[in-house]
Amino acid sequence: MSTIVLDPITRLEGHLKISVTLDATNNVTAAQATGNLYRGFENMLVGRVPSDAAFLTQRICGVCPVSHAIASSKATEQASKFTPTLQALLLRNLIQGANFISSNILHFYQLALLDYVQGPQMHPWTPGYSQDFRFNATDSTALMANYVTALSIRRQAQEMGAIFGGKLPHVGNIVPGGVTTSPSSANITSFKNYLNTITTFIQGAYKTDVNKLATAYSDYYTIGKGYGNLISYGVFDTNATGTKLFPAGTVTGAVASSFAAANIKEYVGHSWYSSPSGANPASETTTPSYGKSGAYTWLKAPRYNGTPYEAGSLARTWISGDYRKGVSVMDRHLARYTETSKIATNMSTWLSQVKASVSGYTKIATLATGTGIGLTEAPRGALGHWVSVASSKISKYQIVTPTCWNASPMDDAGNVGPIEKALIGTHVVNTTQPVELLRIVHSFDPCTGCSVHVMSPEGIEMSNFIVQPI
Amino acid sequence: MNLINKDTVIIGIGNILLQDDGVGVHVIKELENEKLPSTIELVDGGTSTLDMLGFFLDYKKVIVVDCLRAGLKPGTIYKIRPEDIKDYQKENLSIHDVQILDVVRMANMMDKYPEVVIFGIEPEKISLDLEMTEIMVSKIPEIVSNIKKELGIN
Repeated sequence: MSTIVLDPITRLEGHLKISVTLDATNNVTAAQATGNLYRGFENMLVGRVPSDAAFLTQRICGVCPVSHAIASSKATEQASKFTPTLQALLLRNLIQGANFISSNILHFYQLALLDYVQGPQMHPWTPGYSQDFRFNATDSTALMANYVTALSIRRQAQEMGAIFGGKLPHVGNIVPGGVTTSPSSANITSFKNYLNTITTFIQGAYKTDVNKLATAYSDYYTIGKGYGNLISYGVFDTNATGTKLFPAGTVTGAVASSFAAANIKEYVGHSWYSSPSGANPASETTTPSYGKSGAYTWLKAPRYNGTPYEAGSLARTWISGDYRKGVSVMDRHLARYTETSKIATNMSTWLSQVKASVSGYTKIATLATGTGIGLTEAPRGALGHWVSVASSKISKYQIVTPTCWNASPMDDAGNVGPIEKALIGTHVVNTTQPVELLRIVHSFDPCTGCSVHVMSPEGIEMSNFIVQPI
Repeated sequence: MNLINKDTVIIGIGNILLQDDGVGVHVIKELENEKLPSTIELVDGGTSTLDMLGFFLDYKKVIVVDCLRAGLKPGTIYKIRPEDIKDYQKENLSIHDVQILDVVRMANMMDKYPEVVIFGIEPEKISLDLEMTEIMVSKIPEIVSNIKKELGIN
């Protein structure tokens, strides 16, 4: 028996740590995912006015801030019994859609691809793993050329979102009541131009490249399945009556079913919290207890009807019927492409419905008391905010993020989390280069929130670079 | 914002919720009180490192202020250029792990080669607190002076 610890932030206390136990034949027999960050936003929000939460919760993450703003706004809107106008919903879709495209392209090219393609033989791509690269020189060169193009496309997707969002990341205008902007016809034209360029890249290069990957690594259709249970809260409202481009739902053992937020409970038996385990987020509390016996992570374990579920592109596209081939590492990549293409196509439709010089904002009365749930999807999966308001201030707030679903620890009934489950049973060819494990973890597009960004150049004699007193 | 007149950008990187990690952002706030030439743009980059890529593509000169842990005395100010750092190891698992040096390389891959100067400051403490340590606070004027010297202004 041996163990492998993938702790990417060896330089510092970090984000997501994965430890696995291998048997004598190098098959994974146990896995633990550890989130090394305490978020604590719930406790920060108590006592603040509800509309502040849409701004503050975006700071949980610079990768999917738009979805946090939307979830938070929806929670307060539900508590206020308010439905935004179609103009507001369309503007939100376009800003969130830009963020999905940006995130999904970035995930495929910048975060996942280098598990399969050898990068340029220069830093920061060396030293890297050299295990199991299957592309010939021509394909590798073409993929790396698109890696560079993707950097530019991703940047353009951010700029596109900023046309209606004011700026990205962390938009300033998605609030309870809608979107505080009134797009000019020049804005709409500019957005359209960006969208055309980006859609061409998605439906050309991205489509070609993800299929190339699927052909060369077809064995990854059978690796990293996990439970196969999928969950989506639904995203992209297409009208004011709640119809969504990707509907809410669950898939349990390949059987699709409906979704109800009341069936969500969070368990903390193996998480560093002393608050009660097994509560619905609406009544849940968050009391940190670092070092608690038997615990190994800051992530709680959200469960639906007591069962672990995987969130993300594959869940969305399975429930919407756009992609139902299977559940595996490769299926996650193909599903992510499928939804990116569908979002880009639909953004063009939404853009044609947006009215020039019409505000997306409706002022809503100050909420004195009430409760609300804001459900949406971030690029990496189901995202929910639960708010309670008393005396016009937030009295309770709870956030359940997609990576909490995917990278969750063992629950109180002994069920491991979805990423942990997906790792178990995997055969590692070379334990010094456990690329199989990285490919599985990356396929979930995990993200455990902002931490420190200290530079730490290893092996450099930094005393040579000290600035002398002026 | 009119980019046409601006050719130099100063970017402060860091998380102000984590004490000394936020030094880059605190320096930008301080520079906002200085009378700087209109050719200079100031940017609070926060922790959105990868989103800084555009600045490396559009400006001739980029000055980065960031927390830098090399193990010397807390408050030590380092001045380095990316070309000084040829070897560093990394394994990115999420885009939160992208460092400013990676962004410089990405710009280079896109055929943009701005002049990049990094002022790194050795932290004393990085833990949840809005206030930096005293040693870090006391270093802010010296960091600002060094940036102004780099800009050729007094």
